[in-house]
Amino acid sequence: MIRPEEWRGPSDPQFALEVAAFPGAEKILSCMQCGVCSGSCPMAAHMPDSPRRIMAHILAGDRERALGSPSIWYCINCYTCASRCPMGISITDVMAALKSLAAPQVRNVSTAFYSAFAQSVVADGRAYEAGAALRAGLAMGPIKALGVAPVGLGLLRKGRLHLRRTRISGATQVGALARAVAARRALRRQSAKEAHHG
Amino acid sequence: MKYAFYPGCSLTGSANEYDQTSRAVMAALDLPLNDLTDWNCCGATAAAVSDPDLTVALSARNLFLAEQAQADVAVACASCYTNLRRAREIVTGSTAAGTRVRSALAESGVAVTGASQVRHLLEIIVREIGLETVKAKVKKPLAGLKVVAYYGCQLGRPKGGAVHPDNPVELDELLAALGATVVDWNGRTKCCGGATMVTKESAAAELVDTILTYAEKGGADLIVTACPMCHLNLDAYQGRVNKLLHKTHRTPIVYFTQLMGIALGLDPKELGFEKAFISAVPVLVSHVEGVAK
Repeated sequence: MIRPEEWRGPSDPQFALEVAAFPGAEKILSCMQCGVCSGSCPMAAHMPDSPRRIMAHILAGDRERALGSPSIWYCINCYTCASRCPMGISITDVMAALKSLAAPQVRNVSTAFYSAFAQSVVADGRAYEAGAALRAGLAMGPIKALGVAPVGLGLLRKGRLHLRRTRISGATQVGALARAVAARRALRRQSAKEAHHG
Repeated sequence: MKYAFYPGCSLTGSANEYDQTSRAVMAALDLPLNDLTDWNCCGATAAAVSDPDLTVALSARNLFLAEQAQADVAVACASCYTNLRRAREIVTGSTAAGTRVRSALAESGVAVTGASQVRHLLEIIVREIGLETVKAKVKKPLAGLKVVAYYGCQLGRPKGGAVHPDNPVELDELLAALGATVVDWNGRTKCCGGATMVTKESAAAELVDTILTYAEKGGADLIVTACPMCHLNLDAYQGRVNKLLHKTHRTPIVYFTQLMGIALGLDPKELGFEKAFISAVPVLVSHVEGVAK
């Protein structure tokens, strides 16, 4: 729940419905704020807003607080909350929806890593781990990157990191699927905008 | 129905010893693995940050290929396993997202009926081949070896997976069937941090530290996993975690297929033990003659 002094009215009354349109996020309106998600989350201790609070922001139509919270980038996709939610809400999938809605406005290590990874998958049909790790390393800054460098070098030395990309023969089909998905996303974004601005 | 093997991207790179030993063990169990032709990445946890629909669509193409081949999908990577089974549920279901992804797939002539099941290797071995068959094939029991079974998240979560989300038993039972001493512990389904080891390092490091501590307090010689991400975070990052948190962990992590390989009498040199950052060979010494420490 949101404390009364925090309440500022819904900035975007349609926001919960926009989130509910994402795969797995359909049951979000059933949230009863019990907090089982927060109690189960292995990352809750690191999150400024617990998963339960994030759910409250969505249900309150507070788009800015939900998408602006650093907490969403701590979700690991472990699905512990999703398997325990008494209302059967896949909070993990709700977090994924929020990340994807927030990502275009966010520049951090998470978005650098994930977008490099996804780009290689869409282009080749296969993930290019070395490239994604390198992009994340650049986004981390030199000190942190130096700290994790031994891991990358170790993998390389043991023949566990490919420096060359692999492209499947169905890569063009994968690209077409990605474009068809993106076209539908653009339509939803447009109609959400229209609903918001009346 | 026959199986088509879905290795996933990790098994072609950072987890190539899991690939090698999965194939060797399944062949020894008379169920050799043939790859799903032209498979693509399942989307991992990354594609969803662009668009969760993309993860479903990417995974769905693999299901489509399996259905064309009239095969069920056998998966080794726990993360791919979850993406594939989740996509199967969504894309054959009646939600708005399912309908939307189906229409996107249809533009490329991709359709999924749900005819092909998605199975993790662990469940194929324990439930289908069966522990009695495995036991009968054990040539070199892992007697004296103290292990903990580490399932991580994605084998049992979200619900409906290969094992129970909180109290799984299958890997424990398999390791006991191989002759190992299986230690009870509190880390079976604790999360290793997954990709946050790259993006939120200090938080993920604490999760890894917790799992290693639980295993060590339980007196385990090594941790046995069925997931490439878990292996990467617990093994390759163990030194980094020690540095960040001022710890002295030194616990080897092995894939369950590597231990099966030893027990089934396969050549230890072909089981990829040299690929790990922290070698399991010193604790396996009575079982793996001839492998470099």
